[in-house]
Amino acid sequence: MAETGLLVDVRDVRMVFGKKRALDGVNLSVGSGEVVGLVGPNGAGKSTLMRVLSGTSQCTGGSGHVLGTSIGSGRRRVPFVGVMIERPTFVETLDGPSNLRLLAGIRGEIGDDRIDEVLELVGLSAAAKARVRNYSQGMRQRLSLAQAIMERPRLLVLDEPTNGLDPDGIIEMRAILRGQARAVGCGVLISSHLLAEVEAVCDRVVLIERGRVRDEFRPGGTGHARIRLELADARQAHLVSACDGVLSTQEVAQPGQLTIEASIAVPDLVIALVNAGVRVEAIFRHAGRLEDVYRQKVGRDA
Amino acid sequence: MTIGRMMLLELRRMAVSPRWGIVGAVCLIAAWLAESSVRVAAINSHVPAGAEDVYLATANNLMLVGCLALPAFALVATGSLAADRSSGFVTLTLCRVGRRSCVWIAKVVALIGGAFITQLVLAATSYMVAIYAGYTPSYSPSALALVPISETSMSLFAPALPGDDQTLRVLAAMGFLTLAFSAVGTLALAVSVRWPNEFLPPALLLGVVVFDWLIVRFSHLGVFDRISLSAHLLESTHISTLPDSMSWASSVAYFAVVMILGAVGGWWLLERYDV
Repeated sequence: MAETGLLVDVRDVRMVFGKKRALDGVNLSVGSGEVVGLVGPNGAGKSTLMRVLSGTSQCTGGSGHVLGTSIGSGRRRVPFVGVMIERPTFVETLDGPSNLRLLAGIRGEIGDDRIDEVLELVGLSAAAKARVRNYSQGMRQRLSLAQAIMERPRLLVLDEPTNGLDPDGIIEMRAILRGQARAVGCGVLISSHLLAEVEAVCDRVVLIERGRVRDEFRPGGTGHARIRLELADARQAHLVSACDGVLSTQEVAQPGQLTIEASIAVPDLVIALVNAGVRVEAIFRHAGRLEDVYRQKVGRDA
Repeated sequence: MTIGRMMLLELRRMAVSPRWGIVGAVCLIAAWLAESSVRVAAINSHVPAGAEDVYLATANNLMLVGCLALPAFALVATGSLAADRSSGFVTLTLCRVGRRSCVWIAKVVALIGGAFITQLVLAATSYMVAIYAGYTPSYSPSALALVPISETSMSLFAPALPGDDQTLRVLAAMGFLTLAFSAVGTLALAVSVRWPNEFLPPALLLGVVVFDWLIVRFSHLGVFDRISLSAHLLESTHISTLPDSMSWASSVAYFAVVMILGAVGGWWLLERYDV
């Protein structure tokens, strides 16, 4: 297998369960320091693909490698990937640090210092001494992230990592994942139904449906900001389209409410609008291009 | 070495299982029932019983060993793989250990350790019950075991020969049952690779023991005895002075073959099925 420089580089991955094709020729790559999001409806094949990449399932066809380990039926080796599964499970009768020590003991690469460090990083150091059976869903999720990153794997495969997290937890999770990718150079593959989260954290998004890759793009890849404006005077809409940096305008819902695409940053746009004499009632960054693409491609509400 | 550390992980996980409480309770019940039997045998034969007799009576009663201790052991030792698969914990271990075969070997080693600990618990509870009931431990051969079975109405005891060391007999019985439990436990664990339900192995073992006992009890098929689990499981079937007794070597070989079949079958299944 030729090394491509990618952490994950798989081609034509197929997985058949009886008569059902869970994966039907998926191509995917993940580079070092890259955060890739997998989105798609339930049953699209996201989790199956993640299981194949993490080595718990053996695909029925396809080629390529994960961290230099070939995929394909009959493979013997499983790559060392930081895995976070949808429903985090640990030894319920032990506390969080003991569970991490137990798992870290398999590879024997890290000590208690590193375990304390990751517990603090995921915000669990204070509550970690309780038995896992008494953990909330959010605490389990944080512990699961801790075990995934503690041995500094080159690749993280995370299935619904923000499940059960409160808003603070989601923000922290986002920062941790970006940190792993940027600072450590770790490749991250995330599956989530929270499109805004995927858009916020991912460098590239892969849309999967019925076991196939339907689309692949970079959120904000054009470099253009999408913004919703509410004007104090609906008659000033024509002034907006004439402003510097405004590429397109589209009236939505009611008169005076516009979605615009701009080639300049939001603060600069505000200055341009004020200079043009536009009286702005409210301004919002648009909910997300990903949601639009998802609706368009999948053909149903996200 | 990764596989060694994986074995330690499995042993530590099994050690903290709260199900050991069930094993302890089951062994206590088995020992208590066996003590009653020994008391009756001692009264019938007018020969005093020793503390070892209680353990050997426990170990040689199919209902106590096969229907209580064996499923209780399976609940602790064989439930882990099936539970790991349904919970996803095996994903966390597999990616660290790197090979499915390592996961399997670690599980089997932990299971053997569990079988040994179960025998220790069974022996310890038997001795506790015996001492509580007033029997005393002794190195000398059990007087009760030397009484003809026709007089005690029981075939509970190990090959009893004058000069046998009782402690050695107890240790031999423990070793033999460790092998037997490990062998059938591995086979049940292999089945759970294909059908991952943590309650399947204990239910399967209980079903096999009862079915086996029914065939032996009502069919009187001499040939079946050679492959019967219950016929090989109990030490009392190896009493050389009894007609149709089996040799120790044949039973050791029987369980060794079952062990190998289970280990190879489980490894084969684990390499082919998703975890």
